[in-house]
Amino acid sequence: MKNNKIIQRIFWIFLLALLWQILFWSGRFSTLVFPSLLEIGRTLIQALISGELRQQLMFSLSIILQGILLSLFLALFLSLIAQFSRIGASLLDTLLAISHPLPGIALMPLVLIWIGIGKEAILFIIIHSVLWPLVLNLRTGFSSIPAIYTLVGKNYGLKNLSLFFQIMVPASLPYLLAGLKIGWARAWRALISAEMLFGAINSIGGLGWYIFQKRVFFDLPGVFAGIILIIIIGVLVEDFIFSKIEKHTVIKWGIKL
Amino acid sequence: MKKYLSIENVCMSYEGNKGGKKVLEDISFSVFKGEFLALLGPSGCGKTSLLKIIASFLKTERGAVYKEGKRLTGPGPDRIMVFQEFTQLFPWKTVLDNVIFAIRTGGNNKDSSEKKEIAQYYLEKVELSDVLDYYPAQLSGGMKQRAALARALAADPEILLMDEPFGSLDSQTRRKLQDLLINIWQEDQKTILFVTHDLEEALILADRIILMDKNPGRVKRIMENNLKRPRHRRNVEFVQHYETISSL
Repeated sequence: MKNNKIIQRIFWIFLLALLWQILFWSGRFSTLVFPSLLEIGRTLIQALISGELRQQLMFSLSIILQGILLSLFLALFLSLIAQFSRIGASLLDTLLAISHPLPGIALMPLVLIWIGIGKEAILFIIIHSVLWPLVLNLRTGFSSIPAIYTLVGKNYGLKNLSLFFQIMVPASLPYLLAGLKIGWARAWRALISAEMLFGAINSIGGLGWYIFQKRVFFDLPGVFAGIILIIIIGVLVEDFIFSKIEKHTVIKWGIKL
Repeated sequence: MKKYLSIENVCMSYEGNKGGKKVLEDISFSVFKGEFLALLGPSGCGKTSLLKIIASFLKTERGAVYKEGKRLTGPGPDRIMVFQEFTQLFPWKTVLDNVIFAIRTGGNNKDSSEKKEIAQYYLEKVELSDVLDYYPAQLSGGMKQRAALARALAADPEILLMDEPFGSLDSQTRRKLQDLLINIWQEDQKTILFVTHDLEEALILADRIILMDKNPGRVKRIMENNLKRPRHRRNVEFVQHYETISSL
């Protein structure tokens, strides 16, 4: 069943690639704006081998990973406070209502003035993109924990913090993972846009900046190489990393949403 | 025998749309140490609410529960509840870890290998030694209830509060677990309060039966059950008892 899905996907990608190549061969478009697949592939591999693209990729990945980890700690901390303080909960819910619908990109001009360009600015945008969906999902997760788990926890002598970390966090893991997925998708978009806007320090500005810079030099195979890498990373994370985590946790436990 | 647990004038109602609905009205009885007591009644008679009050999961409107003269105010591992729901095990822990959980929070600082041994001991008691590393989702209903029982025993409570733990099982599994529970009770001498709506189950298990009535929930009658153990369902005396009580 699952193999079948993979085969179907490969088939469609192959067909789309073929269509692209036929359009290229037809000669209707200038090769300057419509490069051949072979050239795109060659550029991608060369840029990866030479280290040019690899460095940008590592920059992007390390920054997004830091952003997600920081957001995770922050989200746990905030929802912990909200769980034990009514004032905290009401403040957090208000903050959530204000910030969650606000796209990170809308904050970029402000970030540019307040923080400037560079890693911190991008990190700020990523945390904004990940934190709120995570908090929202954790809050929902906590309120949908079956009452029996907390009853049992209390019965066996757990209180406040131990109840939070031993019962509430694992019991709401399906929601936490859903929040992480949304957070990842939003962060990945925010990252690429932020990198384009904020540019590079010492020529390392991440994948977004790489694409942007290739456009300046009208190097379209380079632009496409960057885009393809972004697609590959996105698919790998969503279909591979997240599904692996789910398989070893919520699916195994029988509590997948 | 001296009074151990006493339930005194307990009243409780649930908030509803049209005012409160009285669930329990002036419930009083006492429990002796080491006794196997059944709370028998139709559904809706508040027997589960009563058990939750004894566990301190619910608050009384009036009246209180005392253990050895002291008023009970909060839940604790001295009174462990076993629920009817198959979902009472933590799905993110293996069977073994579910039981180890009970030992860890039992208050003793035992090292992990010692805890594991204790957990294995109780899991062997409930005949689950083969599935230590399984997750609850992989177990049958009967196995889940056995594991829940092992977890409760591992906490070494003074009182076991059992809320129709075998109520959702098929009759064959149910009988097996009843026999198992009797064996465990005879070995460990724990005090057991067992909620059920099944007269046969109450007669097989309990020393005394508290018969409850509904609307509002109240004690109808308290009966001694002097049938000799081991008890058999086809025994003449058993059948006579059954007939007498069900005609009440």
